[in-house]
Amino acid sequence: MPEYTGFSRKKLVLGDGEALPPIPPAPFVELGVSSPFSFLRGASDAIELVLTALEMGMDSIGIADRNTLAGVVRLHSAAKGAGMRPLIGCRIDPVDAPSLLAYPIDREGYGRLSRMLSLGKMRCEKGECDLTLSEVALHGEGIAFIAMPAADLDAFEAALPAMAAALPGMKHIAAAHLYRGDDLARIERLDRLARAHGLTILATNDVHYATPDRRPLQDVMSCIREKVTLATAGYRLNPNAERHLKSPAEMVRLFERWPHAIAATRAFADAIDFSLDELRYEYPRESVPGGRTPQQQLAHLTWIGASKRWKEGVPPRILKQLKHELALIEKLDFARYFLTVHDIVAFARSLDPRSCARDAAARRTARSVIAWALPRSTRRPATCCSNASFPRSGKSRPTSTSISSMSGARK
Amino acid sequence: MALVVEEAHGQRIAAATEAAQLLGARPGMRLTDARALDPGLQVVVADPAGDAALLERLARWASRWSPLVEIDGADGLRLDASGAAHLFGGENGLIADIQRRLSSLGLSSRVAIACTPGAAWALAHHGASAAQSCPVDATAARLAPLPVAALRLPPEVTRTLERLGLKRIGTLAGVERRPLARRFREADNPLDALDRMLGRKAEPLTAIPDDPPPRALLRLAEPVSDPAAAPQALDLLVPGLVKQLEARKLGARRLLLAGYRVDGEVAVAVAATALATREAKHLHRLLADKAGTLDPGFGFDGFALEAAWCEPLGAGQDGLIGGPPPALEVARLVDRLSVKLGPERVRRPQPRASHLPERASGWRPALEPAAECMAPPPTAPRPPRMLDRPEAIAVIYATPEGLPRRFVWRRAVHDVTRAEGPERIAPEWWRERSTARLRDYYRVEDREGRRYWIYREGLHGDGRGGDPVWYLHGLFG
Amino acid sequence: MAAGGQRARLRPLDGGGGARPRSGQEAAVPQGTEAPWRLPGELPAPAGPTLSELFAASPRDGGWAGLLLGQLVPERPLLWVQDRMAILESGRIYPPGLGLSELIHVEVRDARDALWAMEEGLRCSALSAVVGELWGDPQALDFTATRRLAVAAERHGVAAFLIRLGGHANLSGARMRWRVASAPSLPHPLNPRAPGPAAWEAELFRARGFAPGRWRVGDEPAQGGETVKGAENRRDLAAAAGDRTLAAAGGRS
Repeated sequence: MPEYTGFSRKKLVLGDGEALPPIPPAPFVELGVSSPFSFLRGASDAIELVLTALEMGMDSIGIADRNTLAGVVRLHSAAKGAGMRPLIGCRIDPVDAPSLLAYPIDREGYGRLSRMLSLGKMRCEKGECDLTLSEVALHGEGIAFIAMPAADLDAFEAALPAMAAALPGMKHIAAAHLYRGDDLARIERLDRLARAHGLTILATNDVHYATPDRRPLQDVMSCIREKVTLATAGYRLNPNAERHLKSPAEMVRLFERWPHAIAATRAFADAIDFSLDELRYEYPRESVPGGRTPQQQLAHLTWIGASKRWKEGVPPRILKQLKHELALIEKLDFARYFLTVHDIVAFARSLDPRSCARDAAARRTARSVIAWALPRSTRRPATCCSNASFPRSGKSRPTSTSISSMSGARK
Repeated sequence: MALVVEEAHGQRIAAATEAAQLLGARPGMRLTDARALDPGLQVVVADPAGDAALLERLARWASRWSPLVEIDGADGLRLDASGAAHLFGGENGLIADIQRRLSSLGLSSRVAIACTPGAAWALAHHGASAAQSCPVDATAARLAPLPVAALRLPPEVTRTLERLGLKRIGTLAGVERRPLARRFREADNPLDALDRMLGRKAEPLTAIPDDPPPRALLRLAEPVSDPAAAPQALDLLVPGLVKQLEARKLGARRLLLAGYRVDGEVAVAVAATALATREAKHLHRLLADKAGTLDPGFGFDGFALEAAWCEPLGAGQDGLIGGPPPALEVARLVDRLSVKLGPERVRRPQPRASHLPERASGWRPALEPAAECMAPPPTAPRPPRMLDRPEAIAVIYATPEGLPRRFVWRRAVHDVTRAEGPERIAPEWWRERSTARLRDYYRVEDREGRRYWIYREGLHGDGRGGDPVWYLHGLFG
Repeated sequence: MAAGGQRARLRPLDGGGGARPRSGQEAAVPQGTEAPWRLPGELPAPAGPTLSELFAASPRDGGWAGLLLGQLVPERPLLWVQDRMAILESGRIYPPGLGLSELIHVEVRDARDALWAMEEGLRCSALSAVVGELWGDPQALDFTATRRLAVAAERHGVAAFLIRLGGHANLSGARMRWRVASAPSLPHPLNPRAPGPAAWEAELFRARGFAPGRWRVGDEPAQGGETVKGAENRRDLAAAAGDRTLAAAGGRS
């Protein structure tokens, strides 16, 4: 049974940590999923989505939040915890074209997608993303796109040729059966349109929540987003509660006339060869001057800093501690982290001399004498530290660092 | 004869006729005491509610003299006669008319006209003669001999004044202000009250009366009991009203034709318009029919045509070339229809932002302005006709969500040859009961080609009831 | 019926099964006048706005509304009068399904009020048309009343449509008298199981200046998108020759 561990950050743990039996592939894979990281649009978090998908017998689930990849980690870990295969993607809303689902096929594609999103976001205020179709096309190698038509099919039909020309790798048009009354006609129209352009329709349910009973929450979120009350929201709310995860059997039934739309989801999912596991943190290499390894550089800086701090000579106890820590860092190959922080602090100091570094593991590593020795903190460590306060061996996960300057600005 | 009211300790006299008063009965006296003085005293239980109702009717009827009538106390009416006196030949003529008409109703009256409401009250209640008109400069002189009770102060203040020996207003006027001010609260200061009466100070808390609405009056020399009198009066009154509206640059939104009957009743006909207007022909047409239906009773002896609600209206509202603009024409049509059929029956669509079809389109009376609404999103086609109440039908369909195959409506069987749907509309959960069920709408066509809009309420197994029920909601064209 | 906002272009589904205008009368709307109503060129249309009477084939058949709406000009306001029984039996008009920009709806108790309201409306030449629905055969609806309506319509240039639900064709001053029934719709271009563009059977059984006839009329969506593939299920209707007697005309219900 899946369990929740911890309080503030839930984690999906299925079974007792044993290896899970593989789930047989289902005929349908849901690719158009919005999680709460599509701000005020998705109403079910990753764990709920994964659990619901699991119950329905899905073996794989995608995620495509609007203009952000922020939610992929949660889905990845939840899916892994349940024994499902997560598919990482994003929904892009270009300013001059209909929406697109973007699923990177490989590691490089993922990098390009991130770059694309950064490009779009850096131009705008927080929460916005400004990308044109041509920019998407420029960064589009290694990414599989799915066109996502809005309610107005005439406008979509007019825009499709331009899209198809700009994105030669786009092979699919998403079609959803949302109980609008004319769904059969609509999907048939999309099917004909797709075939006319050499594309295929791909079935999705445009999922915004896991189960229908989440509709009230999603309605409330829409009200908050649009800054209206429920009573006055009117047509801003969805007329029905159909944007929930639907089982493969249900989707097959809805797309009875277009089995190729269902098959397309399976083929699409199978063609994706990227997983977040492939990502490792790589520190920038530029902080080390030529001729020295990072470890050597760290040692060099440490001794310089130590001699500055203890002008009369380094006490033997401290000396022993420093040597021990340096050895540990060498073993864990952690030197770059300290160098990076050192660089960041130096930069911050150049802007505001009163900055000091604080990081997530600072509670532990602040006790590290090396941290103190490096000229980056003006605070003495509480005591001379011991082993236990240093990052445990084996965990070479990067920690996050934030630097605050005394003037209050966070960098 | 005396009127008595029931009280905790027995009956008390509320009012007594002059004859009874001569024999000793006084208002406020206990009945037993009065009976002791006059064993033959007749009593009738007072009917304050009936008295109040009569006073209200009288107030309405009194609008024949002035549009601004207020009920004053339990037995008085206050009229603003400024601007009305000249219609009756001066103030004295007005007083004479009032007294004559009231006495024809069987009421004795005391009438006074003065420059302030307070002075008028004092003179009417305590004045020497039953009817007097007091010019402005003579007010102080006329008020002087009146008892201080005429100042209309709270009873304990009056008592105090009397005990102090200030029994008449004249004596009070000679007293220095400061000692009195120390003795009484500011609100009860009798000198202030006197100042107000004399018009030296403004009445506090009196609402500044708005300009009286434009009004045209018609007085008949003799009562007429012919129902045709009202339309004829209308003919005569409309030009006068229009002239007033023009002079004040107003247009009427609401018209009132009042026929004053000799028995103290008023027969009223009302008409409203969508746009402010002062076009004589239109105003006349609006009220012409209704004027004919006014019941003369024992006879009308006066009419008034009033623009009860006006709006500013510039000059030249009518297009002189080529006739009035279309919007105006339509507004006139709406007015005419509303007057004859009632404003509730003449309506315009009022869209509302709701996915539920019966809420998405409401109606508002055509006289009222429209309310804003957001544009509806594109939906599946809507039928041109919808039943006010969806009618339950029996449907054969493949559960759970199959298209309908055959249904029975009003005892006739319809075989469905074509169907499209479902269009799912979920309940507005923030408004409806939690047991409300969703609706799946289908557009169906039967063998003859007749097209309907039907819906299934609920899903099998949605936990909100038994089997879903089908309804027919609309007819397609 | 197309969703509100799309004007239907009506066209007869067969090549015109009937009436030719008698000599001296024009079939089409005269050029240059701003006609507030339209009929397709092939269907007989009166020369100017006048009173037309439409009999619904059955009170439970709303087809006449589709045919009528196709003839109205949506930009100008419309007055629609319904008597109480018509609303109960056949529903109230539903503005989102009408596609009209401005509408005044009047609900009356009986035919007398309905006729009065219609006449008042006809005097307002800013309207595009006046539609009045009457239930059954009310006494107030006699030849004189209909003649008054026709004269008012012609004098003020506002088309009048008198809709008879569940009524019989008695003597009437209407210039054109139709009987309209729904007919199976045209095939839907995308979904064969769905009702397609609406179709009706319209029978003109009395008209001044035209011979009676019968047409199958179809509704062609006015905008681009799917066009209707030619009406495959046409039935050739024999033109009805000459005038019908009133008894025969009143037989269908």
